[in-house]
Amino acid sequence: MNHPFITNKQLLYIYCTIWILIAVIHFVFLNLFEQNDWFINALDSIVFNFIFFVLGFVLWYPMSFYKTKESKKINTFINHISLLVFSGFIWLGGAYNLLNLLLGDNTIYIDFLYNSLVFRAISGVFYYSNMVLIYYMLNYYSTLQEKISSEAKLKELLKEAELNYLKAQINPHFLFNTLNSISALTLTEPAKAQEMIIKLSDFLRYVISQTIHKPAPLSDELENIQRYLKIEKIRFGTKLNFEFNVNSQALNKHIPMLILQPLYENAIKHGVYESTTPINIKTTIDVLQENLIISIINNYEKTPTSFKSAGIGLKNIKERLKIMYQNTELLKTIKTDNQFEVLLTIPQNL
Amino acid sequence: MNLKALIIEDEEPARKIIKNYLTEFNNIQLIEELSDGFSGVKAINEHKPDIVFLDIQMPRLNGFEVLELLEHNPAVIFTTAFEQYAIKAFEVNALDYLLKPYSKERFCKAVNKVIEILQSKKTSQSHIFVQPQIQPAEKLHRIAVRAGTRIHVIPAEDIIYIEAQGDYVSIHTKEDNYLKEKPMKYYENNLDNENFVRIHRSYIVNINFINNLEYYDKENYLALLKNKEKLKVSTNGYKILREKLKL
Repeated sequence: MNHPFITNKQLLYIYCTIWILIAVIHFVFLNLFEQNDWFINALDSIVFNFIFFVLGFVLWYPMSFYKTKESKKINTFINHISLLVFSGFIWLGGAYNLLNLLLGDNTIYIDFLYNSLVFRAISGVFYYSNMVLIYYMLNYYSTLQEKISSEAKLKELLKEAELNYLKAQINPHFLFNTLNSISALTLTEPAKAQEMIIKLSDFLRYVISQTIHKPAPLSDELENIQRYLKIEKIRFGTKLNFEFNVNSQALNKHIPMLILQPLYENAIKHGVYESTTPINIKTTIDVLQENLIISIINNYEKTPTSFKSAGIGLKNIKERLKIMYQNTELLKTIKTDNQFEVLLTIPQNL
Repeated sequence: MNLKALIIEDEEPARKIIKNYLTEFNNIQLIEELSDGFSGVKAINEHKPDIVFLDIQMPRLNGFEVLELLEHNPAVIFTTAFEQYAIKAFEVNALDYLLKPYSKERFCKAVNKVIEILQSKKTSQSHIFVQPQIQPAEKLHRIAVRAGTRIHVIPAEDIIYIEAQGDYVSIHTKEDNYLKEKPMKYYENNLDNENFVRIHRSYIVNINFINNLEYYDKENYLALLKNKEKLKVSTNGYKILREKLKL
């Protein structure tokens, strides 16, 4: 909510110059068409224009307030009318009284001043409208700039996420260990090996075919995550257990692609990789006020070097959610002595 | 020649495949299978196997840390999906490095190579398995030490300072001091140098534990630590410390 004239000094200079010009024109006009002393005309011009100069500057604040309130058109209109009346009152009233105070004994001038009030009021409306127009343009311009830059940033992040996603899903470590498991199974349990190859293929197909630019139905995402977990389950056996509690209403809600996958990777990396005892990953998904609420809890083995930070994966997700939903509170982590919970809120009004 | 083998590997299917391939070798007896680094170290020190099949990423201690803690040095064959550790593996005198998934032929080649070396070792009595000197690829964030039969994993941030003691270093933490057979240079190079500074020939200190610097006598300073100990600081060490602590 910074005043554009304060943040951009150049605008302030232009604003000052324009008012000086208006004041000069005002002065010249009075000299041409009225019989007052030049000194009185100058004072008239300075008082009226200086007050509007200050008013015009201050006008930005209530205006930017209207804008952030995002009120209805009719309300905005009423707001402007009342602001116009209010500032007109201050302007004309202030200037009239001030000049009356300074030049009260010059009855000719005071008469002129009184008679010209209507005309001045009309010019005030004209000034006011121009100010409003300029401010709206400045606002529009700056939001446009913001939009462009945040869109560019989002695009960049999506690109990066897409790349990371591919890298993470088809993470060589995951892939080669899985292939090694399959290789073992072909010797001992060929049927299970075949099953695993099919799971891996489905998983890879899903990952490769998806574009992350549009939210996917939760059911699709969950299906793929279960595939992923089942593959990992073959590798880790009883060390990895998972459990899903999903409200059926949630299944057709939408969720940005790849938001969930890194969370499970994280749970496996910090839970299963670093543990000698079984790790449970418990997922609860519910709908609350039309938002998806996802909780992923995993226990972990406490060691002196257990992970201390939430990790870069979580940070990336947080950043993406922030850009997509303009909200920094969508991803929360709760860490206790032996349990790590990720709490995710996905708004549905994208 | 009969050989004893151990498998240290956290994934069941991966252990299965080694077991399966090992049936080719009548003279190799599989003694035990372990699924984490801790029990791996214990088992190697206890059974003194000839061959160890060692995974790298494992719970509690990774494969490299396991090697650091051994009293007995067996022939090591690494089995891992990470190719980026290959160079490091040969630096620690691993005899081979099997990239998962690997074929039976590749596995047999590795084992035959080990058998050959072990036989020549038996006849010539040459000592080929020297204590490993590992240069980790990333900064150390923990140090595994052995105290008697117990293994401690010390997080780097808990280290107050490291003191040179001949061929050993003494690692000082709030709880205890631990000895480790490693040169100072190793820790100087591999601890993250944002927090750890070599302040003296004999000391590397964690700057988060420094309370104050005190003038001692010409050119010499003392570092006052939070645990009330005082360490000598060399002229050069003082220069680095001043920079780090922004004095």
